[in-house]
Amino acid sequence: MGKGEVANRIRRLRFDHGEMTQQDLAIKVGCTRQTIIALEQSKYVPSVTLAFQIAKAFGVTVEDVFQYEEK
Amino acid sequence: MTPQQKRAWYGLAIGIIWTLAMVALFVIKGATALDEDTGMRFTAYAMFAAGVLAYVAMLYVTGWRMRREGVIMDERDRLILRKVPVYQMGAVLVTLAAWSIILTEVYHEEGQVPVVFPTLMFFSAIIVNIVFASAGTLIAYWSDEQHGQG
Repeated sequence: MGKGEVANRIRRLRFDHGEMTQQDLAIKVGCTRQTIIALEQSKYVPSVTLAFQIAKAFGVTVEDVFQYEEK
Repeated sequence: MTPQQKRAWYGLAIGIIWTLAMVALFVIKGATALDEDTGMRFTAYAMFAAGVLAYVAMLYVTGWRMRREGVIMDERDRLILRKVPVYQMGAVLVTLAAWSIILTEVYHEEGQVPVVFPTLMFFSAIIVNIVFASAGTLIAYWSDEQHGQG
């Protein structure tokens, strides 16, 4: 299996949820704003726990937020 | 900037001021004065202890203030901070290697080193360890921001 990348739609989902700020999302899921920034820039892949917490914050499934893309 | 980066900048500032103050004391009085002058010896011990206390106080105060503002450390911070001991240990080992090589070369003929140097080696190892706890944190965050974690 080739090297893959985990993409996400966090930025899109934030705007779809009343332009939720990065800080608001960070507080909801219990992380720092800088981690949300790193996630949106695809510089950080979250743990399974954080991925579920983010999906729950938006009321969607993990697959709706994170996608595995094979390179 | 994450709360841990802010804390590292404060720690680095304390470490640099502390280092400069200790170096200034030994430059002005001379390293051997630690042996001969009791007042100088207690001043050096007091400055060393003051630096450690200032650093620990900074950790408590910033931790207390940041906790009131929200999350101060999350899973990403923990992953990044796992690299810091590598920088700390590397810096301390380089410091001790430098002391060993320099003292061996300078005092080789005499076959012994003045009794002041073990104290100076101890001071420098602790100072470098604390300074690189902060500098290592900043380097680790910088590295993460440049390369990410995949």
